[in-house]
Amino acid sequence: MRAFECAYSRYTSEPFALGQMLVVREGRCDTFGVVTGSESGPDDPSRPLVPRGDPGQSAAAVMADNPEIEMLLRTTLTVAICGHIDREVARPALPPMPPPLLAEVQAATDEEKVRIADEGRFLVPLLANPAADDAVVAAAIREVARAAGPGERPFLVAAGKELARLLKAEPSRLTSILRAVEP
Amino acid sequence: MTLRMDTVAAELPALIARHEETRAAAGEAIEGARNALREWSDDPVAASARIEQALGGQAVPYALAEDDPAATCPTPSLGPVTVIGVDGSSITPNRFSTVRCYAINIGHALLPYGVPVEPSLDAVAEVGLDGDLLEGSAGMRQAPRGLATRLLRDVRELECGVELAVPAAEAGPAVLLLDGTLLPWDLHTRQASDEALAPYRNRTIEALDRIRACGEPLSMGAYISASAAREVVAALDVLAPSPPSAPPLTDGDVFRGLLQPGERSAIFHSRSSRRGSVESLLPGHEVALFYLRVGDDIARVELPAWAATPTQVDRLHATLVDQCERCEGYPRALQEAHEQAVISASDREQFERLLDRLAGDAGIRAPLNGKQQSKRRRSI
Repeated sequence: MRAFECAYSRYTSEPFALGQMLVVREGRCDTFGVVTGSESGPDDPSRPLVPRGDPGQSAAAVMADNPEIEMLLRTTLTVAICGHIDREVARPALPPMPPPLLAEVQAATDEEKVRIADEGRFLVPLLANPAADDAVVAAAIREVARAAGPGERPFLVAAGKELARLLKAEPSRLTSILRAVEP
Repeated sequence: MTLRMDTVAAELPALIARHEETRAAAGEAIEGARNALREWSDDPVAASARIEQALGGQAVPYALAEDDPAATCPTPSLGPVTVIGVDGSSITPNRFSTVRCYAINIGHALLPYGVPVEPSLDAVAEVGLDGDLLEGSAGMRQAPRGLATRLLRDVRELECGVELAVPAAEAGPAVLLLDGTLLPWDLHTRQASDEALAPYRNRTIEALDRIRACGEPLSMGAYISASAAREVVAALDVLAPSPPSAPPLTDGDVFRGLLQPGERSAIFHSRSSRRGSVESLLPGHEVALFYLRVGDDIARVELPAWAATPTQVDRLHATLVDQCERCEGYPRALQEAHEQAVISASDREQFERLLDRLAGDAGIRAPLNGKQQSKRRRSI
């Protein structure tokens, strides 16, 4: 309920970033989460990935020269849930139900990011998730701030206040996240 | 009790020593065969006539060269190409099953190199009742189920290859690779009636005709790693009979010393009586072949004689060398097709259990026979 894992096939062409907000638009409500990690490797664990390509050859060139590789690798993303939209109402809280199995995961729009972040309230479920370490939380704040456009500064101030409230017992963590948020 | 390693391990050193003795004895025979090959090369027309006179019409399979039998060809340069590998795997109807059915899984790898074609790795599975394999003939009922399943699998592999290769060849040069022999040998079986085999034969002819219609843009080859064929050796035996005590040689033994890595042999035409029979069933689709050295492996590559034009052979040769370099000595496209096709032991068990469960849900319960029941329980 607090997190889910999803397979992602466009690792090389459109990689998701750490802290990026994703959405599953299926099920009882739209479920939003933040990328906390990704793991890539062979789809079949009995087939190890061996070095390919010539010295100096870029990864993209190796991929292009070996068209089967991309189809044999799988990227698994771990996503910490940070909110949901139920009947047009955005709530920075855990959804009542987990997203459906096999549902497609997409990047959230800028408007959705700002709505879910709700002036920093999305940090409540995020900070409660052990997978969302300081780097993830900071990346998520930066991501929403960028999406806010002209509202970037007000959002950063609101998120900072929310962080201070939530982490009043953990000043060192607060400092660590705030430093990581700074451009 | 599993295999008694303590027992077999004690016997292995003696086996290895005997193998070494055989290898040492083979060295002389190989040298003799190479001398015969040189003799054949010195006067190909006369030597071929001698071979044909000695072996023509006999049951011994042999091969004749198109030109100089001792010719070696270096790897040609490779341009943009789409490589299609096809391989199949199957589950033979189990006589112990409640519902006797087969499963065939045809895997493919479509890999473009410098050609604007979408790559693809996939498999297509199909199932059918035992009776589907025997459709239209009472005679086929005498045939082993494995043979019928294998025949259908071979034909489906070829058909799958055609479905992929024809559009690929429209987009640019393409090479279709199969694993094993080019033609389904089981078409020639005496264990099935002509009526039962006719649909498989017709489907094979139709598939080959469609490949031929693609013309020069499409090369085709069936790849046999570490082939044990000895058709060239049989021909050489006519020119310089090996001593009766000599160990049996393979064509690979002869060409290993002749070919450098990446080189291929001359093009040969098989005159195997069995193959001849298969070819007589597939008029216009005679088999040509060459040997290719990949590392220490001497692979046999079979291709339709109509696909043995210099352009098509050069593309096939260069592609195979490149593919083998990409995959530790075996064509990458065939390796990936195999990975898509393979039906593992656990897949087989799962299939059997699923079949039993669904049959049980439908109220079909066959009494377990003693052997099956005992093997399943394995009680002490």
